[in-house]
Amino acid sequence: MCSSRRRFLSSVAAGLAVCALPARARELPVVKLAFIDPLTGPFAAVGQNQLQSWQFVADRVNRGNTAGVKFEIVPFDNKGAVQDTINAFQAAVDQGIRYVLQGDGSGAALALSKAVSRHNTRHPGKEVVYLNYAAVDPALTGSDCSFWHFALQPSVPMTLQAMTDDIRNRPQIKRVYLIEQDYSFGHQVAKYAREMLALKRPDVQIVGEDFVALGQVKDFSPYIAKVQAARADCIITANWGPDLTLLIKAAQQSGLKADLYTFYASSLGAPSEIGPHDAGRVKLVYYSNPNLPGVLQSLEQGFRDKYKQDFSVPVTYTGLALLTAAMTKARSIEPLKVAQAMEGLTFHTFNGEVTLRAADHQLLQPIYLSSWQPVSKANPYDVENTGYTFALERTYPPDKTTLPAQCTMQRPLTTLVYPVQPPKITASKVSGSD
Amino acid sequence: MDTLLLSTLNGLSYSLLLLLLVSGLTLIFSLLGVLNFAHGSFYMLGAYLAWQSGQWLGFWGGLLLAPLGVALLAGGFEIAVLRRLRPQGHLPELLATFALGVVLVEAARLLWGSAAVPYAIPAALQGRLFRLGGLDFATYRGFVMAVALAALGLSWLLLRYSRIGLIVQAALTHARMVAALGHDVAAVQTAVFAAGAALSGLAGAVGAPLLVTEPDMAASMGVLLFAVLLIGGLGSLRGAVVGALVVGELQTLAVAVNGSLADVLLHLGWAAPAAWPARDGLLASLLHLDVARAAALLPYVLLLIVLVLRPQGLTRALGSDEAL
Amino acid sequence: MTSAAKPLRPGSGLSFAALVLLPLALPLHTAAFSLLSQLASAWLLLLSLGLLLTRSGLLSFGQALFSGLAAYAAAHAMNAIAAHGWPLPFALVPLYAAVFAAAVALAVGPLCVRRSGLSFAMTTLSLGVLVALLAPMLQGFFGGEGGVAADRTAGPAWFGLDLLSQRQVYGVSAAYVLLGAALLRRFDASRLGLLARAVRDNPLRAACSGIAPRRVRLGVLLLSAALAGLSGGLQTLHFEQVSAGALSLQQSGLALLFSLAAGSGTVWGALLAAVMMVGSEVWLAAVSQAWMLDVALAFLAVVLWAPQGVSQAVHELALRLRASGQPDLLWGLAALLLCAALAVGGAGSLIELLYALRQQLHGGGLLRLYGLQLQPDSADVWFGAAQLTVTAGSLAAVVGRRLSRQLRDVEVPR
Repeated sequence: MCSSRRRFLSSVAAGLAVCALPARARELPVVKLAFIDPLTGPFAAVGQNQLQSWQFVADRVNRGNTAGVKFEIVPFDNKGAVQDTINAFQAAVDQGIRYVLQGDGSGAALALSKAVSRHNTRHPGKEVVYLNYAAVDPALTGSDCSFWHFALQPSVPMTLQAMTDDIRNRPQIKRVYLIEQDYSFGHQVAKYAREMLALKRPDVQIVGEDFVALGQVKDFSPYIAKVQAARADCIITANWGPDLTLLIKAAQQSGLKADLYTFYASSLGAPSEIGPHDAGRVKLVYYSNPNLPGVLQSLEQGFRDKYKQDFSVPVTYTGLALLTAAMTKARSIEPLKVAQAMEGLTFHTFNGEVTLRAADHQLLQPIYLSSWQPVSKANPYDVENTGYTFALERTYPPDKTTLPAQCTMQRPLTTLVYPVQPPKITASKVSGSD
Repeated sequence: MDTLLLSTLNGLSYSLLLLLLVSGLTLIFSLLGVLNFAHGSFYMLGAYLAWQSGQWLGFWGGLLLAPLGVALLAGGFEIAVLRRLRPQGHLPELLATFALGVVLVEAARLLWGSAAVPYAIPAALQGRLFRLGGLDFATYRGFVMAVALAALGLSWLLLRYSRIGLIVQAALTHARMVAALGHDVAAVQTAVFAAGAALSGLAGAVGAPLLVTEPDMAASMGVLLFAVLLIGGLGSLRGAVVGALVVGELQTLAVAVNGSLADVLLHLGWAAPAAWPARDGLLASLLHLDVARAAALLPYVLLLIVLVLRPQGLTRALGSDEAL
Repeated sequence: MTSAAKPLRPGSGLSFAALVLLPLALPLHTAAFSLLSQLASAWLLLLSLGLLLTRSGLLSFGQALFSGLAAYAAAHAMNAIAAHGWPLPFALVPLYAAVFAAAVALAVGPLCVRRSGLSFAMTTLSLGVLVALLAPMLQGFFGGEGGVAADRTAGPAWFGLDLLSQRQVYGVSAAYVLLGAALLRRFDASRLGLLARAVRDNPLRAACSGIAPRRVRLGVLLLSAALAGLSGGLQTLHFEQVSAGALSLQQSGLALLFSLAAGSGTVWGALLAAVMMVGSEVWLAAVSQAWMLDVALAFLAVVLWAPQGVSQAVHELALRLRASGQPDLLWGLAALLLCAALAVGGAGSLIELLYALRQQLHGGGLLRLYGLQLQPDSADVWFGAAQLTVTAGSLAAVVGRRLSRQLRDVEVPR
């Protein structure tokens, strides 16, 4: 009699506890992420697509993750300008947001990185973490590196490692032409390309190097004429925006036979401009490929259904995967602890197991070489409804492309002064395919 | 040599596109005295209208409808806004066209989005006309040149030999007399504004498949147009031809020149500047700047030179009100 | 737009100074002081444009050349002072920037001032565009893509001024605003000021009287460039970062646009222009995606109904109202303003609905407008906004016409 009553009481208690659990589950801590990128102005199209990507991935991750948090993306428009970036950062800080996302433009990235460092130095206890998801200037993880900045895309030298590796394995390429945009990014690409090719294929000649004023050139045919006159076998270009699409169009119209190694042929709108022509000539060296199996396929399908555009920024998924893994490890959402947890963290994302190197906060991930080909069974994803796709040719694991870190950063002292908020509920793992 | 010839031909097609744009601008300035800051936006609008109506009526339908649509809009704006501002002087009209330009760009963003639309060369015009120096001269470039020459030839014939053309020519210099003779000068002004806009719309419709069709094309073309206009000389069609040819060929052929000022100085015997490291200091960087890198800047350098030495432009005589 | 400078009322200078210094006495938030600092810098830039236009009749399309280059010079100066440890407070850096900008004007000015009117405008345009395009290519002075960074707290702290707080930065900005106002007043009363107006009105006659028009224009350009340089220096102090955007054509164009719209030849006109410019770029842009369209439409409205500039139109209106001696007209004015505000609100809502509809095509949701949650695809909302715009707009037109008829024939004592 006593034991059955005890058993009855304990079962009632358990039932009550179970009823109470969902109530606490509803109150997951909300982590606000400030998205600072152009939403109006000449770069609005890319910025809006990036914002939608972040919001889409946040919705997915909010269904359940190991850290037990909910992400909220708060957009700020920086119009692509540095001063507006700093204003937007101030506005985000005034709203109490502790995490900042930015990627469009290394100029804004460098300015933001400095602004974040200054803010964190002047206001200890109110630190902000900056996730840079697209700017790839090597100074961000090199001479201007900062403890609070985390780079999620491969830097310029890493991408060029993959590119020059492919050239090394193609003996038919003997003459290379460089066409870059005339600012520090383009000059760095040219410099690293020369150095790496000299090391890997001393027999390859750089037969020409041209810098084009940013966004000014309408007619690329004289550059194509120079490439032809130099009898180049391939062009290496890190151009983006109309500088890339106009170059490719001019090459197509002139019937140029050289291959084109690009950084940004998969950016929003570029595949449509390339069109269903020129199979095999345009090559893409990027941290992603639209035909990768796994969670990327469901993300692409879901994004297309919702927004009628291609999911061209999969690094957003990596960013939230990183944050949830770090918050799980740190058992906290405080930026300082999360930043410390992110250093050296290995986690799983759409392109496999990746590591965030502690020395310079650079994410080390695979880099893929693809070429523009008609859709096939092996590569079925139709990019921007052109009937063509980026066919995966080669995968470069991180150890093949990574260079030694060139950063000496000041790290804040580790002290456990912040209140630790462990997650109450551990739901299932980060949502995979559903 | 072959590549140079091909480059010159490509430059010529680019020049003719510029000429189509600038001729409309100079026409509007000659008669109305207004520098039309919305001209780049008319160019953009022509491209978008051509693409959109091309979705329903095919490329040729789009090519026909685009200039008409732009002309209608421009004519409406002239009647509604510019006519009201005419008594106030040229500056308010200029500002009104500037505001219209921005409104058109934002409207295009609203209607078609901020991303580029895939306005491509139609299948009938793809391919090459001939091969020179191992490269193709695209058929479509020849088509652009033909359209530009035809449109300009037609406009010139109209101005020269038709009745309305004579009235326009008279109104350019003696507007009051023409009005006293009973002609509706205001209507003529509206017609000329619409015609200039139509030329710009046609340039957009025919040139955009070669370039990129996005809202930003208005701003990027806009400033270059003023450079071309002023180099040739404001208000003169001959000046527009000279300006367009000079700027188009300069931008195209300068790309082939790989030397810099430091190299020139070296040739002349002064070796010191060549040793200055290109990274330090403003002067050293400028000296080492290749002409090929500066190709996109050359129109503005030329504009500066022309404005300082010959502000009336290369083809015009100095007006009496411009002496001081 | 090229109106003569009106004689200032004796008290207006003091009231302006009081207004500028007032925020320093109030316990405002950091964000407020940040906005005020940007206002101060914009005020100086817009005043420089207004000065050039009203005193000399010259339209400058490339003012960002002076303010941008001065901003870079200020950043380099701050870095040099911090690196070498020179005993120069950063509060004086904007003065160095002003001198730098004046030096630039001295170098390129002779090219610009040979002719006035369109020639001057186009020469400044081409110079501005040239330097803006060269900046990313020349990395020595202009830094790489990130531009040049500076730390405003790294300088020597004189009188406790370490420029850490935004309040101190605004204090420095306010001082320079007062300096600019004083310079303007001094200029108007000076010989150069009188000569400038003479050359503006009739250069041929001035030349015949023995005045060299180019020299006079160059003098005005130098002062204008110095003010623009102060603006650039203050911007560097506030943002601690200069990039190629400071030289861009968009910067020049927007500044000129607001200068012309508000009529920034006077300190109050420049204040109105600064409020409009910073308000659009910082506040409106944060609130609405349609900010550029709104600014362009508002500009079109100003050109149509107040082509001399808003401050001039307001001044005229005030004069006429006072001279008419009919206090009832004030009610008419109030009614006009109310109807106009409602019409603007309705039109703005329509624009926001249009943008929300486009957003909906890409999976958007509800639209939040004036604190209300609206469904962008419901016909009622559209109808309501359209009705509001049309009714309020027509009422405003009717009231406006009656008011202008009443005021047109009023004799205004000059």
